[in-house]
Amino acid sequence: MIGKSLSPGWSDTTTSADDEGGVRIEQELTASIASQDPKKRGRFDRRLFQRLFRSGASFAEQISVGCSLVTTLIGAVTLFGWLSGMEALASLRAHYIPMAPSTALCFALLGFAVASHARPGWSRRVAVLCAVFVGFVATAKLLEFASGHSLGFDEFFVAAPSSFGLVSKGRMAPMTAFIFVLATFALCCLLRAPLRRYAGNVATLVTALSFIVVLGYLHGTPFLYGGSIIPVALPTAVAFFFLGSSLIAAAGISCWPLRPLSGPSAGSLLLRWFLPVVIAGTLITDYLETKLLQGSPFNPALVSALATLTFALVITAVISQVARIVGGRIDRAERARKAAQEATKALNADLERRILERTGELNARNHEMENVLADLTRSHEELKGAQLQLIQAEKMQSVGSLAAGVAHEVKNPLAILEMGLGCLMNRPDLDAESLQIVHTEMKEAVSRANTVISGLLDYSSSKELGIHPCPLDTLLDRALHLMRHEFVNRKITVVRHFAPDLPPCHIDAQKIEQVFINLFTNACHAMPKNGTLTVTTLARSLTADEVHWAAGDRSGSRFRQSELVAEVTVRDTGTGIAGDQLDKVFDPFFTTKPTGQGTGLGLTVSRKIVDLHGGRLELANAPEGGALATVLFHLA
Amino acid sequence: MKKTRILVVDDEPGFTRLLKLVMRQYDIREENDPHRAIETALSFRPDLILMDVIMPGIDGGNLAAQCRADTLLQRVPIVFLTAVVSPSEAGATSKEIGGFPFLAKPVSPEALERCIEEHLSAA
Repeated sequence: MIGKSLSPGWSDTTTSADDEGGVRIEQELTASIASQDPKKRGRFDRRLFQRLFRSGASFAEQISVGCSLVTTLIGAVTLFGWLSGMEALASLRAHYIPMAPSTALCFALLGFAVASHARPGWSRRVAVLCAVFVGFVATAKLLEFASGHSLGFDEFFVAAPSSFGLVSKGRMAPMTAFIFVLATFALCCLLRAPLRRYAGNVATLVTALSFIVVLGYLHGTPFLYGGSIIPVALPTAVAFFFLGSSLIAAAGISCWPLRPLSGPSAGSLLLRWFLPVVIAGTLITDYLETKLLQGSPFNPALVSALATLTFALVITAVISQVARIVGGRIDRAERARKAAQEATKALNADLERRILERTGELNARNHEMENVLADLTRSHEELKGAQLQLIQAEKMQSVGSLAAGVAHEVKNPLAILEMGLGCLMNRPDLDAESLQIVHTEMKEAVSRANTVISGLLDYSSSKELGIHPCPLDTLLDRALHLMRHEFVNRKITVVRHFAPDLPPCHIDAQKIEQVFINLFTNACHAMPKNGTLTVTTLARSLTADEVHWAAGDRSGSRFRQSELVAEVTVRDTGTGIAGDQLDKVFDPFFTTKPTGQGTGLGLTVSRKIVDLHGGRLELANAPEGGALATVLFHLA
Repeated sequence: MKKTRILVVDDEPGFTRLLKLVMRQYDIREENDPHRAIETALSFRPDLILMDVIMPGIDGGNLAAQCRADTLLQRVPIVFLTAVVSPSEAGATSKEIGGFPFLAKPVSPEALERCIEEHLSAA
């Protein structure tokens, strides 16, 4: 967060790690610098430095290639100097020891290897071969120094070397061989992905060692570049510096030491500023002190104090500049943060106001909804009341019609009884035959009234069922047996088609027997002279059409599609039922029978009983003639 | 003296049979099939018709209207006998259904006789 706020212009840095990043930046910079006035160039120089580290891996690769090529160039120039006899090319200065030709060859090869190690194909293979060769030579040289026996590698280039103080020229220094081993190891780490993270560390060591040697030359301290054994040549140290730098750059910004230096964070920003300044300041101060104190006419303490003061001034100037830049950014970020905070506050206030407004609206709506709900509840209560009144009215109507039916069916026998009583009381002169008629009629009237009242009782009391599993065929046989006299008297043939494997039904056997007796009685009345009564039982599944019944038929809703049911059909060969009477046959007191034969309650009671069992009783005309009664029961 | 002829149209054979037994002072003709009532009336030529209201196939009101439409029968008094009206609703004999007097079943022979006499004299 702080890194982002510190560097608003850096927001795109970490995301653009494309391969062409470095080239693009360079082009941009060139174009910008060319188009800008000189005042702005300083800023662009600074930005160039920043961009070097934020342009990602591609720019580090370019640095790596550049440094490795410089290394190769140093090696090649040195070799050329040896081959052409221009020894000065190998030593930079006349009184400095020159770089050995074997060392120069190793630099040329290793520089090429670092430059080409990341390229695919043969370049990489050549790089591996070069690294192996240099590693082999360096190790061999170290072994030479350790054992004291020459393997003749340097002698291949310079057979009879001239001497440089105590040591011979043209021989690789042991320190050089050691640094070559390190450099080769660093390159091997780069070539092997799992070891890549160590490449930067080892390369830093290479650079540091080369730096020590350079410092030795700067200070004129023989210990740092050899002493009694072969010293490291100055060009060698410079070449190692470039080689180490190229290896560090090749390791990339994901590895130490470039990792902490790169990126937009404040830490890396400060490090990028202070690290070079401190190193450079220290070196310059050190150099000045060393060089100026030697043979200086001034007081050494004064010179030292002046050097320190100069360094302190430089450091102060740098710190001031950095503080100005970083502080400016922090101030800008703080201002932006405050502005954002103010904006957020304003937004929050606006949001709060809007929330309050909306809450108010919602409350108003809620209030309206509550009122509507209260209205609805009141309407619902009123509707419920109205419905109850309707139900009550309907009940009263049905009671009324029932009462009318009862009145008609009971008052007629009563009228007969009244007449019979009148006969008995007013006509003592009646003959025996007439008296017999009176008695018979009165008895029949009493019986009829009793039947009607019993039927009514059945109708009203049939809610209590004694349910037990009962085989339907046994029950039907018993009912048929009870009716056998009727069948014989009317010459009716009974045909049974009973399913052999019909499971028992859960029914009140006595009441269902009454249902079938009613159905058989109706069949008998429909066939007064002769006929055939066919009783069939069957277990079957209900179809969808049979499940969906007309509205108001409460029995149908109890059956489900594909449900297994027991079906009993009773078919007679009588005249059937007239079309306009089919929908009335279940009405109480509706009868088509001659007066005195039927109460009009048989089918009403029967349907009631079957309904109470969750079953269904239907009456229709059979296609082949006669009436067809169908009774369905659930099969448990 | 020729007895007064009464035609009783009622689908209850027991009732008509006992009525005939108890009212021997009249010449009673029973007709239990309402569909044959007009035919019987035309042949019997009753002085009064006692008619049930609720009968299978045809009701008493219809039959009475047919009688009134017939020139030979239109002056014959008709008294309805009905089982669907209570005696309290019927009162004595004063109430009428569609202009016809009626008696509520069950009716005592005495009440029936009074009613018959009343309407015979009125006719």
